[in-house]
Amino acid sequence: MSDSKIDLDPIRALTDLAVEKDLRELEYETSEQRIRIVRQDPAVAVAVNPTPVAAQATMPANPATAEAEAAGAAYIESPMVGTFYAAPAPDAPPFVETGDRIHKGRTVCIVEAMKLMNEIEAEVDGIVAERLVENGQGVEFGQRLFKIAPAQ
Amino acid sequence: MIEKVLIANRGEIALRVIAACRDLGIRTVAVYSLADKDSLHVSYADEAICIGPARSADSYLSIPAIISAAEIADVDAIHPGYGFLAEDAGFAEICQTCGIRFIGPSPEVVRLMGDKVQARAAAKNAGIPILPGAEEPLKSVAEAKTWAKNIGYPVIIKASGGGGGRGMRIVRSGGEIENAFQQAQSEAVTAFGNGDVYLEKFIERPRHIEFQVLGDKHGDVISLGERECSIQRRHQKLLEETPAGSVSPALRAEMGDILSKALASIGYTNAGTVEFLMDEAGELYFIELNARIQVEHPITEAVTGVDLVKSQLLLAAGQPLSIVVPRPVEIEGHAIECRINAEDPETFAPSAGLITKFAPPNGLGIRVDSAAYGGWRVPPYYDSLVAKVIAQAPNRQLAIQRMKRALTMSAVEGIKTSIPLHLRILDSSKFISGCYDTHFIEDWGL
Repeated sequence: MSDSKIDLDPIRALTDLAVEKDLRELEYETSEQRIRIVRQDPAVAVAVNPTPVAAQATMPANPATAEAEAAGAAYIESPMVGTFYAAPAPDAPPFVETGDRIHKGRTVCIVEAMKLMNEIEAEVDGIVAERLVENGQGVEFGQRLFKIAPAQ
Repeated sequence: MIEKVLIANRGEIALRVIAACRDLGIRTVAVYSLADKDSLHVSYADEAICIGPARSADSYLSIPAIISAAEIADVDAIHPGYGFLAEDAGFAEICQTCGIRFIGPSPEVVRLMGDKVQARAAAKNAGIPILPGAEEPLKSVAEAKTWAKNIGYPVIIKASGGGGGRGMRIVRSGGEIENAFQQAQSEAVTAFGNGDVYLEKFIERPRHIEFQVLGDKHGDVISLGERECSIQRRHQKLLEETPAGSVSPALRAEMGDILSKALASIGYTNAGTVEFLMDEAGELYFIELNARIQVEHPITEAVTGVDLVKSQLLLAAGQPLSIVVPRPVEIEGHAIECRINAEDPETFAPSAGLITKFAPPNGLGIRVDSAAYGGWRVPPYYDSLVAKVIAQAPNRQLAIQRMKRALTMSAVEGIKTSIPLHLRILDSSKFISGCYDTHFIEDWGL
């Protein structure tokens, strides 16, 4: 699976299977990718939207990315283990606040790992719906940092 | 004292370290990759931190991720287990810089032992017997020829930075040396990024004998006897036993003396294993020193009663060896370990996947070190070790009997394992005789 092209065939096949067997949830994993289908009654909602799948191609083993919300909300996840900082300096205002409209590439926080301040950029456009971690908190790889609601 | 330890590893060794920490009342922090989120080390540690994706390079081998996890968890020591970063001198050094104890030897000693040519020279200077051969990397084919002529064929050309059989060539006559030299060199560049090769005498039918050592930070080093590890396939050990039939009590005592003096002079601390080749005449020659806990450490624990991992923690905390391991240490009975791998017993192809049923052996004289469970999926990203079965008995014959009993009174379903191969080894007359060498498996055509 290339980075630019989404292979919809396995998603279609799994969706069909989920409907056919009346499964609530179906997870399919290879060394390359992981696809999770979650059904919501009565219709089938495919819990994989195009953006996370594309990210999935570059970050194969990250299940959280594939678990996008049916509602279209996205999450900014920590790409590394470290300490979360909402602002560039202790007395500075935070990079983003709830309600801010952000664009892909916007710095949203810092994760400090081994004394290095890593600026974390948004991978999607949207509105900051919620900050999910405290300033100065330790965060794991893949931990959700912000909930991003789709821009209208 | 150490109060909180991060375990920079996974699988059974992570559980082994957690167990030792619990025995000492030390808090534990597990780190894991996304592929290991359902692992037992994650649930058994007091805390667990996800450090990266499945790929080892981005998780278990990522120094920034591990140090960062150690900092957010505020640990005072890191146990590296075996493999991954266990023998990475740079990692040991960074731990030191960050004020975190690295549970192992000093970075200088780890670095020295990581370079085979330097390690060999250090061993020789310290009075450990080594195979006759070149001590410096060979500069040319001509130089290799001169050395080979002086030592006598066969000789072996090896990569300085290597291990695991890569960059090695056996040369049986002068006509073969030029090709062998060039092949070893180019393999060494590809595998280790360093084309340095050296040469030494080649033993046709060697035994692989290794000695367990422990050292404190006050210059005291003890040897806890040997392990016979000749049952190997492509330099991967399959079965180990102790004591070795080929090592007499007198030789064991002599080697113990040599090693404790030599390693004290090198400044060796914590646990280590000194590997030797034994020739057909019973002479031992140093190959390398593994500056870490070894997979097969439980057989030494079985016959000595010494908890090696607990000792590592206490020695790292600065306790004197005389208190950690009161002497004399007696070797009692016999112990055998079988490494149960997730692989096809005939083709040796890895067999990752879902373990549908897991009923490990138990009963008198049996110990199982494993991180597997029924419903666990063996990930395809890491080594194939599923369980270590250790049989202990008053004598070798009974230990073999107990191991056979254990392997036939256990079940691992859903994946293929090496158990049939282990049973075949245990049933072979050559193994039962105790007279075998590193060609044991190869002689079967496997």
